[in-house]
Amino acid sequence: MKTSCPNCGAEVEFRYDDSFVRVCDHCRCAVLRTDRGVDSLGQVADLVPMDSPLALFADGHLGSAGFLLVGMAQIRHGSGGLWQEWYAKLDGGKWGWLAEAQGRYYLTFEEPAAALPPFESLAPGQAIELPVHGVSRRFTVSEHAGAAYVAATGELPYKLVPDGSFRFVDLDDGAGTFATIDYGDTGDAPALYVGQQVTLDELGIRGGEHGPSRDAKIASQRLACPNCNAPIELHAPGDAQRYACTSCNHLIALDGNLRVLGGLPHKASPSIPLGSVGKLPEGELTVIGFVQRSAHVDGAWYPFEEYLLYAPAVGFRWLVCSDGHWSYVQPVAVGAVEAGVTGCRYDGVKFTRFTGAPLRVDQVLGEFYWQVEVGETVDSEDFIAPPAMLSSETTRSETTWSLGTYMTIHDVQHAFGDKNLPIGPTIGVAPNQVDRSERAARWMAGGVGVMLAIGIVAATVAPDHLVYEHAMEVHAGSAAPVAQTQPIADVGTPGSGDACAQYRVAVHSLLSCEEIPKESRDSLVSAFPLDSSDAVVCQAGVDSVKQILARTKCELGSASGSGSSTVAGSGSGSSSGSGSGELEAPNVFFSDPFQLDSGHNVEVELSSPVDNDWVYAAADLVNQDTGDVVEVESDLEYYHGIDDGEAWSEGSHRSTTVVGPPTGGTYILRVEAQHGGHGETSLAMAIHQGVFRGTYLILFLGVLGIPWLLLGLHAWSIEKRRWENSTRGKPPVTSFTIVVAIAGGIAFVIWGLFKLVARSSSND
Amino acid sequence: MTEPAARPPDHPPVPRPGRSARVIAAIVFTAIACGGYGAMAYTQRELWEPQHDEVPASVRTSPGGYRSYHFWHTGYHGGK
Repeated sequence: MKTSCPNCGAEVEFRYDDSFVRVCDHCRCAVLRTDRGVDSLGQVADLVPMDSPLALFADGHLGSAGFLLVGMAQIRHGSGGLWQEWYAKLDGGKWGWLAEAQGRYYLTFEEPAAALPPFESLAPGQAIELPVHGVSRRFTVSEHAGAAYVAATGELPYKLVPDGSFRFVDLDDGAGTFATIDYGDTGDAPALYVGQQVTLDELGIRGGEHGPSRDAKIASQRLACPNCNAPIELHAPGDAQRYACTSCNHLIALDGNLRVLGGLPHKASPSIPLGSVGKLPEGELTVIGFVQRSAHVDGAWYPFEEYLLYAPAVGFRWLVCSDGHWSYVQPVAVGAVEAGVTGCRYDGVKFTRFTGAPLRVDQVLGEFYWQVEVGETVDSEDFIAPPAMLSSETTRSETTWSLGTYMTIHDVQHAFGDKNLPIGPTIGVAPNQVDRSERAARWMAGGVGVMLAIGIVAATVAPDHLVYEHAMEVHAGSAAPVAQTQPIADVGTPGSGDACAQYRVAVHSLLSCEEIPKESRDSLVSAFPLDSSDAVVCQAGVDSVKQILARTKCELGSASGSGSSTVAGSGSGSSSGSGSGELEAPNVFFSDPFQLDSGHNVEVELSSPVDNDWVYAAADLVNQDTGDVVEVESDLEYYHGIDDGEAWSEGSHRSTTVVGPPTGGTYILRVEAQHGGHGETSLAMAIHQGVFRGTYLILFLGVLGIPWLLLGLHAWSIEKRRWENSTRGKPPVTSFTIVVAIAGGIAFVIWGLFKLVARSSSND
Repeated sequence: MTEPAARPPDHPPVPRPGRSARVIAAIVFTAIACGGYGAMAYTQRELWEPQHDEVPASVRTSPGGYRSYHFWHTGYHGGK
């Protein structure tokens, strides 16, 4: 529909039947189309020059549907910032709102909503439910503010009143969905718009009446400082609102015209020069601004530095330096954070609250996309999950969240390609600094847990069955000179004369050998009885004696004198056992044969109720099939008394020796014992198979636990230093500390049990 | 192989701490310790086995064979 401008009479064309306002290209009058004709809403201001890749009548597509940008309004935020809202007419007649602010684009569509909460009932950070395509979804308020229309062009799908103000609430759901509730002016009905943040690549914007192609790079803009005439280079001219002159240190407003706002009290001196380009995680970014801020903690202001980074393809980012510790900071959608009292959750990661404090701007330098002022304050909160730190900043009208990632000094120097960049050194432990010791200790704590679990399973499944047990009497002193009966070899075989004569000569040689101590020779008397008459046995005895003599300087003598010795004693040996295989020698015992499995270890347990006395026992576990002998020795001694009125005791009544899994088969146990006191004492023996080896559990727990303990203590000291700067002042109880406490408790219980077992054994 | 889902705007991923040499050493050490104990618990082997010997049948069947064997292999023994 073509009509005449009610203000200047120029031709005005409404291209779409459902548009309300057309801005006259000649007099900038907002022409309202009504049922009764056209009317003037007043003149809008001239468009503020803003660099934008969008243009009137540029086309694009959203999925398979094409659209045309048919109108645009420039809107001034209540805090002074300017943004543009483009109106897209889609194929099929639907209208879309494409908001453009700080290099970001949000495409929204009006959503019918039965009831929306009153403007006054909402606040930044508040979560509410909103209907999206008939389904209720949770959104978080990111901004709660007012704005006013400044200028407009083209056709608009609503009644735009020049200089008219409106209130709005921005929200997002943290999953990419963006919403705005437009409350209009006081008394207007609110309207809900829901959509998503989009990129120009997704929309395929091209063409338009004027303005650059979307592919054209937004070049930096060179201006002059209105105070000192020094050159000003703006890297984000479309978004810059303030500039702190690096020459005269005056703050300049960039909203339309350059205006000097005043001199700044302190000249900032950033460690990284403005204009430096760094290779950071999201690409190459230029340092365009510097802010020194302070955090108010415990009555004092603690300064830290922030570098504003920018790249057209990335947007605005920050590099923050506090106490020499650096973090790369990215913006986070408000709705993506689930905030709580003691922490918050973002991207599936739980963050622990570290601190909360007011922040104040102290010094500024360079270019800023908001109307920065020295002395302005915000409330902040930090939550940590090293190397990440989630931070919120809240004003009366807005809440923003950002994600910081810890960078080492080397990382920063490497990013800017300058090893001599004058940064550092670090002080203390940063909130989001990764502690390698803590992570290593966590692994080892897990290992301790796994080892305990293995130990519990091993103890549970260990069969620990008794294979054999017996008790024997042990006579005092050396073994008595008794004749030994022959359970194994035959005695008195015919034809044994020569061999046995030689045997007796050999035994005499052995017993007269001065190289062998007298006590030992006496004990040999019972081992080599002179009355053997079997040739085979005698020959074996000769072999044994020769082996012994071979280790001495004594020689095998002649047969003369044989039989003159009185070495054979009368048998007085005990036969307290089953007697089937037991020797009659008092201190030597042969067990009945028993079976041992090949898959389990063998424990030889010897015990004796000695009292201020000792028993020595040598036990042989003999495989009757292979001749394999495992030798086990045990000193059982227990002494006690009172010295200077104080009771003391030492030694033990019991000893155990464990042997690895043997070759399966038939075994006998041979035990030979000595006893140091008078009279007799008993010696009990028991063979167990498949016993649990608690000693090894403790040994391996020690091997793993000691380094774990050292690492854990180191990690604890780091955590303590880290949390000294927090609001709570001390480390929180984490899963790690719980694991440490549980493991420590288990270790203490095990230690206590072993002490109890040891005490009860010694009492036995 | 499917492409990873695009992240929503202003939804940067949370960085996770990387593996350091210290952590890797701890993991290896922990694995060796746990594996070593697990293997010992399973096989029931001993770290320090008592002495094993083979006693010939001739010695075992001879009078004094065992005694002489022990006499020379274990020597003097006694208490306090």
